[in-house]
Amino acid sequence: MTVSIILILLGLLILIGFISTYNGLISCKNNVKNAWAQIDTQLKRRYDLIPNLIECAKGYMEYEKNTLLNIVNARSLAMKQTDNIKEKAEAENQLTSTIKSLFALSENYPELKASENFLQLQEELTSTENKISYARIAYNDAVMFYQNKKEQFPTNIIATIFNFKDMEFFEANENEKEVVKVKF
Amino acid sequence: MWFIIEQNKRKTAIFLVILTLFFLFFGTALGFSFSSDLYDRTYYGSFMGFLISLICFIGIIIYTKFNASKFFLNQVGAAPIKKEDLPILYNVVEEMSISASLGFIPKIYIINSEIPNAFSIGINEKNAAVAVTVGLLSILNRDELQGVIAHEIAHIKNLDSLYLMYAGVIFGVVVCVSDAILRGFARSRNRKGGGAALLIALILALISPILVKLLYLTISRKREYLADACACGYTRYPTGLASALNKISNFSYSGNKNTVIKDEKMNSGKIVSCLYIHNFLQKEKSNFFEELFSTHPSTSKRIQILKQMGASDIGEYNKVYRAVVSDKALINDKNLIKMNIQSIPIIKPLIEQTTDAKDSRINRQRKAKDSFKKAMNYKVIHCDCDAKLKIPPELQISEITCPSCNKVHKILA
Repeated sequence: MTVSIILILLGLLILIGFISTYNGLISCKNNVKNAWAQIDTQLKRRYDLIPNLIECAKGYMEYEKNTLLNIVNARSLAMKQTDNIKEKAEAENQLTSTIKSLFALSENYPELKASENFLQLQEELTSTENKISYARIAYNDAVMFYQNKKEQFPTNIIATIFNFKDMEFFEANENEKEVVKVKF
Repeated sequence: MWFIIEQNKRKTAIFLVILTLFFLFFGTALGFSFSSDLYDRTYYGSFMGFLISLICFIGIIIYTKFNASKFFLNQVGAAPIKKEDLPILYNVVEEMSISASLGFIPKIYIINSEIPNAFSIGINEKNAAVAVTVGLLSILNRDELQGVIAHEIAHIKNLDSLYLMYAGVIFGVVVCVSDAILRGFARSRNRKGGGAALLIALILALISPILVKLLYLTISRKREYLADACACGYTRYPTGLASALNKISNFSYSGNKNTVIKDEKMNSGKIVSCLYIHNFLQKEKSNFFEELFSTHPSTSKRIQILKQMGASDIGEYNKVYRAVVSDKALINDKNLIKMNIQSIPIIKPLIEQTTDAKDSRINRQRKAKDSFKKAMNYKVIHCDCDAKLKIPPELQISEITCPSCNKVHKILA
C-alpha cells in the first residue's frame, strides 16, 4: 500500500517536472520568435523607407547614380525570402553599409543636406538602423538563453525527445562593432 | 538582465511587507490608544483600528494602481505628444524600448518648463509614461537624450515606479498614523496607567517614520545607480548619459538656482522630485547626514562612474561603482558570475546617428515648445509678415493684433 502510494507520488512528481521543463523550453522558444518578429518589423520598415530616400536623393545626386543603384540592388537582395539566418544577416549588413555610404556622400551636397524631407528621412532611417541593431541584441540574447537551457541537464533529454532545433544567431557586421577607448 | 528585475521584485516585496506590517501595527496601536478603557479585555478598539487601517490600505493600493500615473502627470502639467510632433524624441523612446525588450512603447509627455529634467512612471502598457521638459530637449543632442531616455526606460523595466508609488504613499500614511498616535497619547495622558504597551507604541511612533524614510531613501539611491547601469547596457554608450547629466547638473548650479526654486512646476514637482533623473532641490556638495536623507546619489559621482567605464555592461558598471563609491557591490557579484554576462563593448555613435547635431539650441527649444503648444490645443495663426501667433485655448478673445505688423486677425471659434 505505502509502496504504491510512494510510487504514484513519484510518478506524479516526474510528470510535473516533465511538463514544466517542456513548457519552459516552449516559452524560451517563443521569446526567440518574438524577438525575431521585432527584427522583421524593423527590416520591413527599412525596405519601405528606401524608395522614398532614393526618390529624394535622385534630384540632387546626379553623379552618384552608382551608389543609388547599389542601394536598390542591396535592397532587392535582402528582400529575397530565405530561411537561412546567416545569409539574411549578410544581405542586411550589405544594405546597411550602402545606406551609410549614401549618408556619407550626402555631406558633399549642401542642398540635399538642407532639404527638410531628406533630414526627416535620415532621422527615420538612422532610427530604424538603431532599432534593428537593438532588436538584434535582444534576439541574440534570447537565442543564447534558449541554447543554454536546451543543452543543460535534464532539459536536454526533453529537448531531444521533442526535437527542439538549434537556433542561429543574427550576427552583426564586424566593421560595425567599433570599440572606443575612453580617455580619462 | 532578468535577475536584476527578480532581485528588485524580491526587495520591493520585502520592503512593502515591512511597510504593510508597520501600517497595520499602527492602526491597531491607534485603535488601542483611543479605546476608552485600557484594561478592556475584548480589545475592541485595537480590532477596529486594525480593520479600518486594513480597509484604508487596500483602498490606497487600488487607488495608486489605477490613478497614480495620471495624478503625477497632471501635477506637473504634462502634455501627451504624437510621433509627428517630435520624431526624434519618439524614435529615441522607441529605440530604447526595443533595446530593453520592454514589449511596448510608453506614452510620451512634454512638460513646459525651462529646467532640464525627465521622469518616468508606471510599469505596464497601460500606465507607463516618460515625461521630458522643454529645457531638456533644448540643451541635449540626440545621443545625450538617448542616455536620459534609457535611464527612464530602465526605471520602467526595473519596476521602480511601482516601488516608489506604493512606498511613497504608504510612507505618507505611516507619518500620519504615527502623528495620530502621538496625539492620542497626549489625549490619554490624564488617564491612570497605560503601562509598557503605550510606551512602546510611543517610541515606535516617534522613530519609525524616520527609519522607514531612511530605508526608503537608501533603496531609492541604489535604484538610481542601477538605472544608470541598465541605461549603459541599452545604449552601449555611457558617455552620452554622462554628458547629459553634466549638462543637467551644470544648469542648476550656474547662477540659475533661483529660477529653479521659483519655478512653479518645480515646486509642485517636490512631490515627484524623487522620480526625476536629477533632483534640483538637492545640494550638490552635501555632508554625510544630508546625503543620508537625499533621494538621489550625488550627480558628480554618477558622472564619474559613467566616465570611467571601459565597456557598457552591468558587470563593468559594478566594478567601477565599487572603485568610486564603496567596496560593497551594487549588484551581487555571484549573480553576475552565475549569469555569465559577457562584456559589451562601447559603441560610439556614427556621425549620422546624431541627426540633429547641427541643430541650434534655440531651434530645438522652438520645436519642443511648438509641440507642447500643439498638444495643449493652442490655435496657430500665420500672419502675412511671417510671424506665427499662438493663442492658448483658455484665452477667450475674438480678435488679436499681430505684435510685429499690427495686422488684426479674427480668431475663428
